[in-house]
Amino acid sequence: MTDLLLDPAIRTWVFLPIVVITFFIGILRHYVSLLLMNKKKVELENIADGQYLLRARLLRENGRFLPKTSFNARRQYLCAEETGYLSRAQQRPAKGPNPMDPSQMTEMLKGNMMNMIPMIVVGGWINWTFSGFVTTRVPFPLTLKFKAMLQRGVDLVSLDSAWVSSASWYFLCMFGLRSIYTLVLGSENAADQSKAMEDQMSMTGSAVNPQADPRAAFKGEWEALQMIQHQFAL
Amino acid sequence: MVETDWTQVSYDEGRQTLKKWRECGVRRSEEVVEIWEHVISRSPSSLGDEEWAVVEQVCIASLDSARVDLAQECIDLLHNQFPHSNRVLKLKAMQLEATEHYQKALEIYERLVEEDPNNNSYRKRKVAVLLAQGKRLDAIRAINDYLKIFLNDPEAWLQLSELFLLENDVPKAVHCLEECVLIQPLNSMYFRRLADLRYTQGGADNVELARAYYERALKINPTDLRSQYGILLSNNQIAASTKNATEKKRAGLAAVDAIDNLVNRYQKISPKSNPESDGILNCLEAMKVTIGSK
Repeated sequence: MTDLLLDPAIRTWVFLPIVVITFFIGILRHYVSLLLMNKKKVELENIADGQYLLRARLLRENGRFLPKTSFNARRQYLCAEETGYLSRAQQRPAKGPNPMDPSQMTEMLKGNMMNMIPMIVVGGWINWTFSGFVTTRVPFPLTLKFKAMLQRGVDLVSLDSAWVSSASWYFLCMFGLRSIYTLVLGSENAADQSKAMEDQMSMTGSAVNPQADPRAAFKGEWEALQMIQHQFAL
Repeated sequence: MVETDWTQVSYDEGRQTLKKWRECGVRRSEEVVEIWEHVISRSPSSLGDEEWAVVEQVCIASLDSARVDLAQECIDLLHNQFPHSNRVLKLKAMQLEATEHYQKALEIYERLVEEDPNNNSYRKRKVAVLLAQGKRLDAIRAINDYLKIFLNDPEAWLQLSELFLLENDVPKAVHCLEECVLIQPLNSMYFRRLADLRYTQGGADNVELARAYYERALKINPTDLRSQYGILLSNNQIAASTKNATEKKRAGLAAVDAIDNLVNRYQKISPKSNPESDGILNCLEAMKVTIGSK
């Protein structure tokens, strides 16, 4: 089979522009999100909650180094019926993030917009402008299964699956630029779309957010601390 | 050991050393100032982004070594770069502290705490001001308030235990050190101090506890001479006071073992480096004879 020869104009007007556009959109995303996002405020009470939970765990793990009286005093302090921090924390009214709270809603909306709008607009635009080009090829042979991934928008049965179409090249760039963003913007950047998508996935996957419902965590710690048998280790 | 002359190190070495000390929290303030003045300050801008962290480090070090002039330079540098930073404001307050303007410093810290209640370093500085003024009881109160929120901070617990010791309140100091042990169970110093306090409290139970803690401390840090002495003393005490014959014998043997270990340690070091080691050796041998005779 004779090798496919690509027009050099494709390199100049399709291949490189896609890389540059994806890169600058990432940078833009970073700065816009800096502009829109206000820093998450952590309430002092939440910090104290976390500290008390950590403390209960430490007491369970390292309590064996203390004499029995000291251990029981601390357990009493945390778990006592009326006055213990863990027991009181369980009876606190649930706060949690209220989905109907307008400030929370705008926050969520902002997050979603930051993710969705560039995805739809830029992806659509790239698809529309650069559709139908074969831009490059990966330097190793691939099986037919990869055709769907690498040749989006170019449905040619006879084309070798190592060739990459323009739309697929855009996606490859989008996910592959993470380390370059880290280089340019530092490690805490918001330019990377793939990370944002991971966040979204994990949000739907598991709702175990430390701030989601502290009462359940407190209850768990309270029970564990009640169960434990003290044994002096030394 | 050869003392390094910190005024003569190369630029890169100075930079590495500062970085190491900054990250490990080493308090070698005079050396830091020396490195800065003789090496790094030749061209601070070639540090890149690290420059500001270094300047902050030098600023604190110069306050620590009573170089208020240098601290002022550093603060000016940082202020020009970050005009609205709370971190720079904190340095200014620390400078006020160093020049004994405690009230003003305290006011700044109050404001910083109000602005950012989650940052524990401002609260800790407030306690430091009270300590510097010698207001021990106020400091105890302040640390207590602090520990109601950040109750897993071993530094604060340790400080509190020292304050209680100054007030001769041994049981409360014990409580604080037990917290430290809970938080960092692999730190031999906490165990040793706890054992010291238990031994001080006296009574058969407490001395036994002290012995257990000394053994633990020695296990974590086998070179801990003080724990070895502690084992000797607590075993000696137990051997002298217990009624149980086997227990008496066992404690006596353990005390003799401890003496042997100590003698070993002292024989290894040359008498030149510690002129008192001969006297200590004689003393230990004499003690061994008395314990052995019982």
